[in-house]
Amino acid sequence: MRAQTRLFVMILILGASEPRVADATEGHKLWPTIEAASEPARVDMPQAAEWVRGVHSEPVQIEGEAFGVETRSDKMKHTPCDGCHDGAFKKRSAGFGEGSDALAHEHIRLAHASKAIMRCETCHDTEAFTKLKSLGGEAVSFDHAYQICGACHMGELKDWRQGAHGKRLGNWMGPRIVLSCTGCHDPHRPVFPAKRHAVTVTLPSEWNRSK
Amino acid sequence: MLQSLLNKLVLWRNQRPPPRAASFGAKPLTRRRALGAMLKGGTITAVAVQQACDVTTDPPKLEETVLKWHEYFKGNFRLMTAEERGATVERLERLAELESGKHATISAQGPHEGVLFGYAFNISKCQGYGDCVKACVEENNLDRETGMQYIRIWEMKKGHMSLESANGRIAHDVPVEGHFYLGTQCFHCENPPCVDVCPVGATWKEKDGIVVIDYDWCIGCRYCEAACPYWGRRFNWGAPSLADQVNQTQHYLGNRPRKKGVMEKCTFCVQRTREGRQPACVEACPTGARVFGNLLDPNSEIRKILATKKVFRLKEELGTEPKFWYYMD
Repeated sequence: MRAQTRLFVMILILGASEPRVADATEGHKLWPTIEAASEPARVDMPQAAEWVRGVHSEPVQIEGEAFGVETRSDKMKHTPCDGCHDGAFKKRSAGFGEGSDALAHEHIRLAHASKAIMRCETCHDTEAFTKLKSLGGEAVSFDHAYQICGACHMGELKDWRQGAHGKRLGNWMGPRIVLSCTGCHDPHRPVFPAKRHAVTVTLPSEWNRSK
Repeated sequence: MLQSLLNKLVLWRNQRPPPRAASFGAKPLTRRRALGAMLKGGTITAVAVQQACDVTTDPPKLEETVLKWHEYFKGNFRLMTAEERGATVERLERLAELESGKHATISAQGPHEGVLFGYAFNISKCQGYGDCVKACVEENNLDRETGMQYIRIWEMKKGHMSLESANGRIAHDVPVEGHFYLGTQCFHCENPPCVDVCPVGATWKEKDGIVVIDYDWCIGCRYCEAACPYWGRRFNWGAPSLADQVNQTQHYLGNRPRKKGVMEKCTFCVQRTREGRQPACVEACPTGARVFGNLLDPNSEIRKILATKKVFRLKEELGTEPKFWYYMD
């Protein structure tokens, strides 16, 4: 009898203390909901366009994707090129304009792939330097630098046009305007620089609770 | 013996008369209604007493008292009608104005039809800069004094995937060679355990997938904090000290300053995202490691990431279905 009672009590205790194990089969499943949405959602949110209103952009169309890319040529500090340079790219002859910065490009240290692969003239046109030059020799505007970068970084270009790489501006719906490669990367030194972590982490035990 | 006891219990339960509401006029008088009537009477009395005792009869102070009384006895946001929501928003805006002299806009915008928010985080791209955390603190009016943060950035050794061995307190230059960085915050689970355990219904999942908290209904028991497998929830140890750095564009369920002793957490910046804007962390990220969008739109970036990249979520085996994916190049 005592053994039976003990067993009964044990069963009661075990039964009561059994943790609730969330089973992957119970509850709402997310994937079927997502998959079922095969049509573009019609969301009524006209204000989404507001968040990119002031952004200057150029239309892009590649591989069936159409979006905007933020312009760069209007943000370049030392333009127009022929304000200082005349003639050949490397030759900075008498033509420095009034008030121009003679050391405009002196800070540039090329650290992009090896010197055997990348030089100034790989991307810059030595003749018509107001534009970039593709590997095939075609002139490309500074606003469409992704065409130059994508010639080598094909995987990144694919991810970029789909939105897995790069950065969209302002909104999550409505007109899609993204940064070009040069919007985030310094083309002369594309690896992100090291910098100090922006915040200090405080644990709850260290918080000041006197308030 | 046990069986007969059980039978007796069932019989007793069945014979018990059903709970009957006392009748009062046309409407049945329930406990809730009676309490409500008493409280209304109490408000009037208290205001009268306040007015009688206050020698100066300072009108703004009286207004504040009245507003605070009404605020104290309002209902759960989820159960409020549109008018009631409008009224509480108006009261809160006025109270904030009386307190700080500045006008705050508090939105009560509900979820949009056809939207289910999802988030993707690129662990190949994150450099651990922490700009997202900073932006979040500023956007969401997080208490500066206790150093409240919703986002945590973890420094992980390459080849290791355990947060147990990760460094969650980065205090040096980043990135560090041989490490990658992973950010956590509220994952807005489709089956949120934190919502299941709330004893007062102060937290719930909205139609657009955002898990929100009614700060005025929360009792601060912290069950949800314990139930969250991701350490996504935070407890307010102090009234937020913000000085003059208050973000005045607010949402009732979002970044309006919380009071001491309630839970809070990431809301996917509900005050921004329901207006079509990106969350503050996404906007601040200098590496583009954060992607936010509509899971119900097959043309959205988030859907393309889910379709074309290697993605994973944390503790997927729990069945919580977080709407926060990690991916890599």
